Amino acid sequence: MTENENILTAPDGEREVGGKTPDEEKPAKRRKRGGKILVEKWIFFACALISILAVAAIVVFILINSIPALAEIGVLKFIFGTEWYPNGYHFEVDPATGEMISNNASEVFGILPMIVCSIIVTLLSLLCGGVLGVSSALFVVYWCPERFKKVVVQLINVFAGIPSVIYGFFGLVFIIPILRSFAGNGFGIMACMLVLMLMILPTIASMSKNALESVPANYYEGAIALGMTKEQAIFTVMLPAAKSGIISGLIMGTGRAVGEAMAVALVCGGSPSFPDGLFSNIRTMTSSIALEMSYASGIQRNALIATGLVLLIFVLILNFIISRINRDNNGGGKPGKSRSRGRAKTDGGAVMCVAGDAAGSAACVVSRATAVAVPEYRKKGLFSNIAKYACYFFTCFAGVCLVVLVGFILVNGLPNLASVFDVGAPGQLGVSNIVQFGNALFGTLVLIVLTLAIALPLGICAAVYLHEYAKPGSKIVKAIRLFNDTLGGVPSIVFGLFGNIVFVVTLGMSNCILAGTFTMVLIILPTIIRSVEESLIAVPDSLREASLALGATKFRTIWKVVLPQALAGILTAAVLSIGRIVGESAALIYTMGSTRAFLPTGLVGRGNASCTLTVYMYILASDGQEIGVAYGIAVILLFIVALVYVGLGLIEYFGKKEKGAKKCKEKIKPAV
Amino acid sequence: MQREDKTGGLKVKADKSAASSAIFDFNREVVIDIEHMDLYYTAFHAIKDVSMKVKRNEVTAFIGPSGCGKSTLIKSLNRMNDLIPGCRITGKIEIGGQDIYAPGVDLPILRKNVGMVFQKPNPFPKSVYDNVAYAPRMFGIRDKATLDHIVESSLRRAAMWDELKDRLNKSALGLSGGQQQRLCIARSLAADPSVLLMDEPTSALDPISTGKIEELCDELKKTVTVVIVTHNMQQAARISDKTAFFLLGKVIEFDETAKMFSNPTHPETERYISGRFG
Repeated sequence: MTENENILTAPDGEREVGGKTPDEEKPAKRRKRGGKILVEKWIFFACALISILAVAAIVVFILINSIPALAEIGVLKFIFGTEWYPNGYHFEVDPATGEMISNNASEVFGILPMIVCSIIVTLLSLLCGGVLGVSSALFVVYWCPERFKKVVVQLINVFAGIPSVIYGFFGLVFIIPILRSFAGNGFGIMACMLVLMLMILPTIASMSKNALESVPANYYEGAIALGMTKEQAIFTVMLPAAKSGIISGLIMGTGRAVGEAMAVALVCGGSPSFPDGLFSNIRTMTSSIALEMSYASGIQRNALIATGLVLLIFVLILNFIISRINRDNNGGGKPGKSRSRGRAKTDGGAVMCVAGDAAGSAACVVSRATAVAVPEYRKKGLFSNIAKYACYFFTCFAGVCLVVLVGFILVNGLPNLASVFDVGAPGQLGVSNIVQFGNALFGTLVLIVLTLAIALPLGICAAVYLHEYAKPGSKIVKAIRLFNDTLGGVPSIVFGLFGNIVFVVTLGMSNCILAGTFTMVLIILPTIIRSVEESLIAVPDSLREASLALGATKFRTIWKVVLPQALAGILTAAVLSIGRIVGESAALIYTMGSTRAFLPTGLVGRGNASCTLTVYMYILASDGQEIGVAYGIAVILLFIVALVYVGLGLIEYFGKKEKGAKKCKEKIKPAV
Repeated sequence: MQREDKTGGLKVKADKSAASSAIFDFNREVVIDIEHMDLYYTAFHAIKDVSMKVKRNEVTAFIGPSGCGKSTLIKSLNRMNDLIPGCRITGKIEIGGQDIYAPGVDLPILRKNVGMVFQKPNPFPKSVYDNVAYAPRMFGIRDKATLDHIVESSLRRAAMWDELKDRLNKSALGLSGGQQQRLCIARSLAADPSVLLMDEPTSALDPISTGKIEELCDELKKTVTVVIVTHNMQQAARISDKTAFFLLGKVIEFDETAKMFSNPTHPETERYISGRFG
């Protein structure tokens, strides 16, 4: 099912839904409005339905392609099996030589060790990244000197936008040599944990920061007026008040950690067995797919897809938890999500009740209605002060880690930039480095242009439907939002599997730019829809009313008045998407391919595979032959990420200049 | 005497000797003694040479048009102004015989003794019980029976024990605006203050809730000294013993409420009270 088919087929499905509401209840009103509005409404509606269709298609296709493996192996044997010998070979990296050793065995597929490793690695990295991220957020919001605050916030956003491959590469060239001096070959749980910790830290910090900032300032005043120190107020009132937003951030970090494939594949060691210590080589579900998908066929391929299915179920459960948290409170962590003018979010008033420890304490015996003297004894806020200094320490640690990451790559990469542009000395592929780089750059640019050309219109239409046309709070809107959020949380390796199954194999497109484009569209669509919708929310209703009162049609109002006002938000969405496309590797390597020896002559079909810079970088890093070039590409990728954030800054700057205090800040959320 | 608080006031760490000197004596007749106080927000001269004596167990109302400095003054009485960057105070404010802007004043102890209720109700997103028990807990009371007692007596003093005794474990944010405000009063009372500052406590409330809070003030002055900022002159006339009229950062007149409203000395006061400006 391609995008085009989605658009074509969607109205059929929708006619039943759309037919119910306006026709039977208000026939008169419908006649008055005329048919024209409905036509464009249906087109927008069709676009909005894509996220539902995409989630459904992903689940269905992954499931269908898992069935052969699950049927042959047996579901329980697959999930609870402890050995993984695909094709009868057990591959293992010899720590001494770095070569693959294989030993014969019968074909066995069991993924329990991978599930266990995924969980262990995720929990460990969540623990460390969570502590560091929340501490950093607390520091930035409450203790950071004003003049550094803006810089630090921007840095956090930039770090959240660094491609995961670079984190993996940093693990490979920096963390692993250090770990190797402690035990083993350096690969394994510890390396995965550290890499993932660094990767999810900015995400958690950024979301926690938003959550803390959206806590009303008068809570703070209230606590201070009761005689609390700043630290006591922060830890006893502000932090608990931001709890739900911070938990959302932690869960989002969990989703990112459990779904990360390429970075983990670079540092996990690849051994599909139970770990026997923090330094033992392991393999997670994602890295298993990333490591073997390139050559897998037959039952092995199905087994890998089934691994993807298990992963998908994990992530769907996490998404479900997030949506429950967001429903149970007014979404402290996502200030942008609270709908102004009462649209959609009708549950805004229902706020979490922290009953907890006060339970049953109502049984007061004393009923004297006079004051009880509270002694002027005060704990000096020892705990809060310790916690404050712990925050300082963890923030410093996080900052140092991230600065070391960028510094190390820049220091080693800048001298190696020349090797990227090396015209001579054809490497393994028979072409020089600069040709490979040029082709990868070309592939990246074409991918960006095509993806945005498809995803932006779709996303804008969907957002317009959700915010301008749909009945606020209706079931279909809620469903679309839920599926949109779900789609946004699906790990990119699962998108890669889906793209490979549907576009590359089923539709016979083979690895090509268009297959990569379609996959990428699905990945960035949720971000675009949310981002545009938020900018539509920010457009004041009075403008719409003014335009409608002048006799403009609804469509004209949207086209001429609302969308131009939301332009900054739309541009922000586009730039964020560019960052996401540049950073993506797991979803592209098995859809768009990794060919950078020649330029593709067409967009689709055999022989038109291409490559992006990030995929090129992954190949270089995992190959290990030309680390110098990998450093060079890493620097270039960092440069592009920096450029993306400069672009975002410019949009915000000009957006503010034009429209005064427009809230663009919230939209600069890291793509997750 | 001029001090600038660059630290935001909150990092002041009272050493032992300073803390012991910061014991307030609220049994004296003049609880709040302001002498020649000036306050600047960076360059803006917000309060100009204010002197005032507030007596124990009286309700004192500050009235005046917007921007006249009455909220600023009330906030400097428990040093909440420290939160505003660029705020500078000269002159002297003594509370309970203690210069509250002297170096080494223990701010938490000051604020525990000088409670504050804000314009907008700001209960914490915790249960009713936890809101009221918050300050006692933070001041070191761990004993459950004592806490229960404090919660009950504070809620009773705020005249809302009967409304809330069955909802102690419900979120305070589920209460109505008026209830939230009275809960905030109860929360302040739980810290056992001797002075209660109220910064336009009823301006966000409906008439019925306003009436309840006004009744409360009458009750409260038996045990605490109340200073209230209000925009509502009738309210000042109803509940206060003394009234101070502010204009452009100056106290134009400070006198018995009855006299102020029947026979003001100053023509500006007369014009304001009769509604000719403001």
